[in-house]
Amino acid sequence: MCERVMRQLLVGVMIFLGITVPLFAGPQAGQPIRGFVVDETNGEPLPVANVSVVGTSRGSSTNLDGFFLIPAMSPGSYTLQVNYLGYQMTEYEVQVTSEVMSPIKIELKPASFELQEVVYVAEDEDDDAKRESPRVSTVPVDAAAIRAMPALGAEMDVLRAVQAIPGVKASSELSSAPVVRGGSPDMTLILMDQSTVYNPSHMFGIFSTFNGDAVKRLELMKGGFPAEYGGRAGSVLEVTTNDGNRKETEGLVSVGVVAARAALEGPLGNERGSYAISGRRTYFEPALAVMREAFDTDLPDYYFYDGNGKVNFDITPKTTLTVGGYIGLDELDFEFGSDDARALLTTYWGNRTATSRLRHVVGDNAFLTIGLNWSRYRSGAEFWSKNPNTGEDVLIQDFKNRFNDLNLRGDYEYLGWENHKFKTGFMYSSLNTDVINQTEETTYVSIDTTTSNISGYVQDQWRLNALWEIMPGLRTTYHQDGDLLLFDPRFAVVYHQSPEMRFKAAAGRYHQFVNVISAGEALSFFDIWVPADGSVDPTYMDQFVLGWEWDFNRNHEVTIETYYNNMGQVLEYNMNTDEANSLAQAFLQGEGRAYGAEFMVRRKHGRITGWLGYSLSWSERRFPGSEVNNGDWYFPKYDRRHDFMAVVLYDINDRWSVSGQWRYNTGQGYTEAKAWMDYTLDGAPQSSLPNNGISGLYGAKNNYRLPADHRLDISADYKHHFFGLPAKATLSLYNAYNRRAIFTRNYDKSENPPVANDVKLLPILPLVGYEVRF
Amino acid sequence: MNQTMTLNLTGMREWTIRAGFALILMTLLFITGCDSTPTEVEDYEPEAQLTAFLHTGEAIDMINLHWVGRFNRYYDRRDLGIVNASVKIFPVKDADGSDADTTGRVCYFTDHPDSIGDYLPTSVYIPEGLVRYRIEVRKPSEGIDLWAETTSPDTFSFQIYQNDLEVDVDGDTLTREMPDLYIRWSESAGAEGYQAGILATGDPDTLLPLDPNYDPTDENQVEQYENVGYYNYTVAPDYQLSMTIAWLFFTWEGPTRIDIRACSKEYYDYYFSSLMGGSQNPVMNVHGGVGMFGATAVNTFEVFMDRAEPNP
Repeated sequence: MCERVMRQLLVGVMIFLGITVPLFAGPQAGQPIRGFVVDETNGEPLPVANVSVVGTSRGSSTNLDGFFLIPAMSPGSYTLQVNYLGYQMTEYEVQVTSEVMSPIKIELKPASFELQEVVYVAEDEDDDAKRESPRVSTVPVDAAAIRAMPALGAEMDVLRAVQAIPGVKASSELSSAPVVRGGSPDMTLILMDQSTVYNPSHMFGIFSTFNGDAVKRLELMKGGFPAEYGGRAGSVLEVTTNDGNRKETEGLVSVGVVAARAALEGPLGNERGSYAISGRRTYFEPALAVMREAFDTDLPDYYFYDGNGKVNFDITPKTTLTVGGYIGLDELDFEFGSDDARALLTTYWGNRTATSRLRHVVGDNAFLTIGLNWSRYRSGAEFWSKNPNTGEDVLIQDFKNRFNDLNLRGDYEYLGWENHKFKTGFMYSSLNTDVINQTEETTYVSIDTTTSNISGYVQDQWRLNALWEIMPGLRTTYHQDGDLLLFDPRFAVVYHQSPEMRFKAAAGRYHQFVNVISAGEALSFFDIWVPADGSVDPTYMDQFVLGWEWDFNRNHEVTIETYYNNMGQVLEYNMNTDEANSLAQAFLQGEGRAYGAEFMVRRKHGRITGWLGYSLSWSERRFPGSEVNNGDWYFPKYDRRHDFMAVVLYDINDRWSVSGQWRYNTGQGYTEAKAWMDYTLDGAPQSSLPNNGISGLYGAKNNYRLPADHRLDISADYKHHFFGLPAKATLSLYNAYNRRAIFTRNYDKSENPPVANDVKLLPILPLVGYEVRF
Repeated sequence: MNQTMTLNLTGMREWTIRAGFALILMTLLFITGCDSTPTEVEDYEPEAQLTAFLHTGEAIDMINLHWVGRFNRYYDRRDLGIVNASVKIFPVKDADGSDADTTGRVCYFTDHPDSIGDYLPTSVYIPEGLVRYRIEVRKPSEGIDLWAETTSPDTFSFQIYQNDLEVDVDGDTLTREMPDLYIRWSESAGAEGYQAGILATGDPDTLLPLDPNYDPTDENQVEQYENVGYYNYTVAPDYQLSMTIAWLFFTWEGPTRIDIRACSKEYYDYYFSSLMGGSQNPVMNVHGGVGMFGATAVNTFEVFMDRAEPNP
């Protein structure tokens, strides 16, 4: 008990020192220039905008809230130059005196208000600051690119866009869950406005939970991420939603083949705040009902919906409060069987999040964010036997699962030291899992457990000189179950060989405190998130990244990165257990390694933008002493040797734009039988079993690969006016040359010899969508 | 002018170096990235498969020994039977955990005269509850040396209920319009879990579905039932001692056997893992080959399933 208190105290002391040390820092000569960069048209803050002082080497970039600070400026007149992708470069005159200045507000005008040529001459990019910093493997994607990229069902899709980045794979073409650098899907921390999203997909993984209308920007950190992020071993996908228009009310209504969408945003309180709401819902049900009736067949009922809401309000010029939330649900009901013996399967799964954030400019040189966030993932499945004659319903299986994550976090940025960006913070999380798996007679699993996780971090982005910049950091975590105190050191460095070329390196340890038990990507409702319970050590990953970046002209950049990830305490659901009251019983514990190289050439602005990417990678796992591949190393199914992707977005003129995406990847691994044998059951003649009891004698896990796959998706947008309102018609061609990838290969054992049946993915699909803004 | 030329040449040289560097890197990437995972079927490796079950309190009837079949070839265990092997079963631990005295307690087997790969006991041999047995199979000329062990679960009793009333439906005619069958059983010592099975015991070639709307002239319906087996089964862990056998699990008209089997650990692990494992081998206990040597204690009753009249 005493030791536990000491450990908690240690985390607390670290957080306290992180916050208080800057407060006692020595006085700086001069005064800071500080303020917010916002969109002129709607007042939304612009994150990661580049702010430089003309005629000096001084500058800064905005944080996620659009705040920047350039410390210790001598009194005098200065011109600030502000750059942000898609906006006109803006110059802003500022006068520094001996008095501390109030935060200024710099408004940027979108480039589309000017001639297209202006875009070509914009000098810097929004992500320049990060690209030039020690941060590695960080790819920002703005909402415009997400909206422009072709997507299944003409539904813009955030996670599909992420999958077009080298190093990111889908576990299959049907899945939108990202698999980053050989980690398993649960190793990616997915944040939406600081709330963790536990199930990122709708419709069995085909669509992501993020409505593109609600997304302002996203940033993928494929590895080597800084100490401010933690709790997952692999990568971070940070999604920031729209803040809402602070100047005027606007909205959109859209219909597509799959779903209808609507969004509304506008100002609050005399431009002191804003709101943004959006939602979408599928409408398959009427079509399914007609098909059921017409073909006299059993078809399931299915729908999903989601909604986002967010309100911002400036309590004072230095303090802003944001409250937001998300709700999403998938529901599938399937009734089948004969008239006298029916079966009913009802399943559901979905996320809910609620976020509140208070952002405050502290003193002269600091920025504080306090957030209270709640995220819940829930799912369930009930399987009923229905007897229409007796009215007797028998509950064959009842599965319910809730995971609640309630956290309080604080982040404190101190920007008063020249050449430093110091940041510290803490997070307290209460993690609750409630799982029931039962029949009418028996409760197989009943777990209701809550644990706490407290973490703190310090990090500093320190420019040593014009050539070298480092970013050391340390994250420490106390996890209640198992009484664990763990330290995650992080380090990143950049060497600027020239203004256009730089070398980067990063290394760190990353611990993970929640894991998912999954029965495969097709069964989202069976995902069970469980926090580390002390029966097994948390999963960790040691990451090493080397990178080379070359901005060979204003519009083009090249990035080459190599990485090696060593994984310990990797968990894999133990399919052979029928009683799991702890992680040690539910999971096999093993190790893993992933390594590879990624190559990306990107054209950032102009009428034609896009990128070419290539990834060469290996991912391996081993579960010693288990039945999985007899404990030997094997390639998990999302191991792919080659991935090549080309993404092109072309603004032809004011009315027409087209986009295309081509992707080639090595086939997915699968386990093939090496011989046929009998599957025998006591009491059952061989001929009484399905397929006469013929079964495969399987070889090594994933001992074969499906053929390599490639696919082209294209999309065209036509912008026009619909009764005076801006409108857009989208024609999307999925799988344009109709190459049908193999999803899975099965054997029809009713034939002898058994015949291979390939389940193929979608053929060419022309799809349309229509959107009206007001 | 000269200065400009020099600058351009410097630029060209840098470009050449960069392009060369990129080319070398890409070549290395492609060379090292070649896949080693095959896309074609591996060579066939013959392995012997043993299937043998002991039933507590019941005489051993038969075991089977055959080779696994070549992938992508016609498969029939009768074509792959192994003959003239030496097969014996004997106890290794008695119910009290002591080493078993095998004197007079060894069961020897001989080839079935009419069925290649099947072996019959040379004498009546009845396994006892909670005794651990070992099977040994040898045929040195074909490199066969197999062994496996399992422990017979103890016998147990069961009751059948309908609408919470205990009933005796053994031999009765039932329809799916009746209340569901609910079975409760006593714990079987040594059982790792239970298997509940429903076997249609009529002529497999003439079985008719219980679905009152089944139309044998409808090709879709016929196809739907074509590959449905006539044994339906489910699993219960050792702490589950009751089960509703919903009519949903009865598929075929005619005589039907319902059994509850208490399973030895080896058989339960095999059975459970085969249900859950997907494209993963079930947990098998045969050393030197593949297959299952398991033991069960069985309770059985039989009914005649009648098809209900279609709804008007």
